[in-house]
Amino acid sequence: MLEAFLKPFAYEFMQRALAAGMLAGATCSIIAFFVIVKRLSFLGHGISHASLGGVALGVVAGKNPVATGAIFASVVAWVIGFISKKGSLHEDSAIGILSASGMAIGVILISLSRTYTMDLTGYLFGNILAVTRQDLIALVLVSSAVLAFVGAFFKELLFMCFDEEGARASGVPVTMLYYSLLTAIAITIIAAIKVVGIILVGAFLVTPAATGHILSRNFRGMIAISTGTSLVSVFIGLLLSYAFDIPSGAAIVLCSAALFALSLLVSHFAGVHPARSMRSNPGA
Amino acid sequence: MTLIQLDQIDQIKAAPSPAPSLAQDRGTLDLDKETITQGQGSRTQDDPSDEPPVVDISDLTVSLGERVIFNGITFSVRPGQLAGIVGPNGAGKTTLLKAILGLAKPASGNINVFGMPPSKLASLRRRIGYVPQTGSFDIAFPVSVFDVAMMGRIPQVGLLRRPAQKDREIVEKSLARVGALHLKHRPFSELSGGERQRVILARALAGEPRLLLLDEPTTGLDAQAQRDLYNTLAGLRRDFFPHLTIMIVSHDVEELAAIADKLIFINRGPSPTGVSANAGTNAVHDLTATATAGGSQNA
Repeated sequence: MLEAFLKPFAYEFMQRALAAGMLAGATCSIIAFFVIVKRLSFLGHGISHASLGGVALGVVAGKNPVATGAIFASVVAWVIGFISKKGSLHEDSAIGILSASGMAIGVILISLSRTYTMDLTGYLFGNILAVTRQDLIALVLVSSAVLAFVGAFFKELLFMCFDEEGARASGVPVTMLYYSLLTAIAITIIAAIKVVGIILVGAFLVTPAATGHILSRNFRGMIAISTGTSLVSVFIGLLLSYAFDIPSGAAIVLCSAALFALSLLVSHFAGVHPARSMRSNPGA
Repeated sequence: MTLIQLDQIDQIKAAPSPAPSLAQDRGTLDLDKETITQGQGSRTQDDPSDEPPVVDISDLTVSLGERVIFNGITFSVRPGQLAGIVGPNGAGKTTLLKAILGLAKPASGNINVFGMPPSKLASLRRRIGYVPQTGSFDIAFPVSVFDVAMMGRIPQVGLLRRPAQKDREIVEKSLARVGALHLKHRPFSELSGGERQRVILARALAGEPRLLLLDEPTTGLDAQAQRDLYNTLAGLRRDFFPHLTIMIVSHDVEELAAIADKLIFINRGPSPTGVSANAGTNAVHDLTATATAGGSQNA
């Protein structure tokens, strides 16, 4: 039985796919904790869609698409964050405009350079089975950087997400942390694009963390459940992809969604009622 | 327009005044037009007047863009005093606390905290405990009570370091002093409004502050929870922190007057030209200065 499960991973491409999926999944799960509690899910979707422009730019210019995508996505994240903090425009409006603009840039670049269309399709829908050694090294570097950032500033990030005003009053460098968090989210998304693609990476990012949020009222439990469900989703999704010859990114995301649905049922029948986020802006 | 019932103001115990402006035949006091010029209580404490003030503000004006939030504010708070900041919505009470914290930049005037401007206060930030308005934090955040209180130790623990055993002990002591130690393993989201505020107060105390700032700490609490919180504060001063300087922004004039040494009234409606405040609309009432009738300080 166990042998049947492990048999597909005898192939090197499946081993690389599993390693890439696990790395991206674990990194996404941890950064997604902040995405969920800071209510940045829509921002994640916006960054991923906008990144098409950066990825296409890299492909067309003959540069590393992951690098150009990461830079492009980071800039988009900073602009959205700046507009959001500045208060001149609602955050959702800024995300809508910038994500659509980024995608439009990508579409135009694709149309101007038809020979690269196939490569860009891989970025749109993911191609985890084609992960190269270089992709894996890049993923390890990105994951290490993101996890080192989160590990170093976890208590400050937690304080900022819980009570930004209180954190600022305590001398926590909130502005620096906020923009660093946006950068970490952006490069995590770019790193995960190879696994599930631009279209699905938003769901890959937040669904396991949302599952953790449903089942736990403490951040430790939430992160543990999020990481666990993400790893399980990658493993089962890859197996299903191999067994039924279906797109691996979509299979992984559907597994993740199925675990989320299961968590809703468990929380309903076990009487676990997730607390809803409640926050209002303090008055002057 | 904020109207305050006169029977609430009775707690201030208006003293003989050269020009009392509380019209006794009126049922309400309109703070926009009237000035409470007197007020003194019977409580006394060690007079720390020879010590420099913890907060010293003179002719302070704070603007937000083109909008003048308040102007011409002058008062000081001495070590160990409890000062209440009272005024209608939009008068700038919260902004005043932010100015003290260095989070709102003065347009003009002087503000000194522990003898230095808040802009240079970064190294002294750990001396200030802050209880923000309820709406500023996420009530449903997935943290335990202990986790929340531990956030108050972050300035002491410092960047890139983990809390030590000593930090944990101080946090537990802080929770115990506000009567919330038994809640330490509970999810913060499961607490009542009163319990939440006590935990946030414990978070502020965990930093072992010398100045404690509370912004509308009783908003959203029922009458009993409000009384409990003020009793907790009074008990903290009496039993544990006699030298702690406290400033509380609140609408509860009656409750504040019962425990405060000084009331600072801030009014809405700064001059659009920003030249000066409407003289007499902002006032300070020292409730402990029993020997100085008429010792209020108009800003």
